[in-house]
Amino acid sequence: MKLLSAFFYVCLTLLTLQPVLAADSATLQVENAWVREGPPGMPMMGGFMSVTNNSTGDVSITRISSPAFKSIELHETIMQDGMAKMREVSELRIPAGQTVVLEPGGKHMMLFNPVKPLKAGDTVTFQLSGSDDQRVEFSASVKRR
Amino acid sequence: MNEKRKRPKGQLFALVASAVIALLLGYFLGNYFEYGSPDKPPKLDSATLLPQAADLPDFELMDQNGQVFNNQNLQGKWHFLFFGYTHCPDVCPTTLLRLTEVYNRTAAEHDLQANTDVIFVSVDPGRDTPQHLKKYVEYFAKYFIGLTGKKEQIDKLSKALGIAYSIHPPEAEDEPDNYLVDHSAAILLINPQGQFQAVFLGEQDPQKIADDFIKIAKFVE
Repeated sequence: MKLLSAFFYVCLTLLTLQPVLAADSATLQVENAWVREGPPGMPMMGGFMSVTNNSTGDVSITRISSPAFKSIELHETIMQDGMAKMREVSELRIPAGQTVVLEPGGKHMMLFNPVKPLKAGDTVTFQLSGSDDQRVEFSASVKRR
Repeated sequence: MNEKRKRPKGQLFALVASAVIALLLGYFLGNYFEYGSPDKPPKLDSATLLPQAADLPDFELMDQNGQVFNNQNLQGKWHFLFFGYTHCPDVCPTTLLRLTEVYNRTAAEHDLQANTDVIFVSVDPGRDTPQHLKKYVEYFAKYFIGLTGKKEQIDKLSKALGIAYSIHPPEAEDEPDNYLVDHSAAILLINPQGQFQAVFLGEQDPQKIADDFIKIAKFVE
């Protein structure tokens, strides 16, 4: 009997949470994701995309992972006095209702140690975690450009 | 009667002559403003032409095949030069892919294109061995040359060309090979006499770089 009521409560909790989870899943939207094909054997590659925050509150990207890379960091190229400097972005905040674009020469995903060689035409899947605990799955095609 | 006939003929001749002169003048003036006079430097969108081409100091580096590369190897061809490092996922591939586009867009100038190479000089000799550079530069195009070498030799060349760079300490002690390098993003143009001729800074459009390169080559040669 105890087990049955526990099961009932778990079901009830999941049912209550379901609309919240469904609403959250549409908050961050990833578009035009692509990975730049690199010379063979290079331990790092660049990834680019645009992320739109469809919610009414600011959301930060806390983590990006992919089964195709050992680790991923967010970086930004800064041009200062003719010098190109690359810095890790500790927190990428996407204001409510806005889009942040990751593109060559600006913010980008730094993709470390591809698990296997990637060529133009390949597709890579990613998982992005937001500060509001949502997770977004997206895929990116590898391109030479 | 004769008098009357002559007049219109003379007027017609004057009209045609002045039209021809105006057309020729327009053509030459147009060319003058487009390309500059033989002595006047061309008007450029993306490049800064040095008032006088500058000699480079004697340097000795190593190419991607382990061969010595020095001032002599710069003779007889135009060279685009870019300083960077292979562990750079953004600016270096972006610039090198742009230079392949520049090269492709000089196709109409067959002789010039055949006499143009691109050189990638590593400012990170600690990680960029010739073998490593070979895989890297040959990915972009067969006319790419990768250079590496002793730091003092790299510095000799970079300083003469106004290129600055700085190597950061590794981010973690257990990963000594994981570090960043800040470096100048300028693209340099070396003339077939092995002299520093022009610099391209911050231009994104390969067409503009190609157009300016062709203007510079025509002006200098």
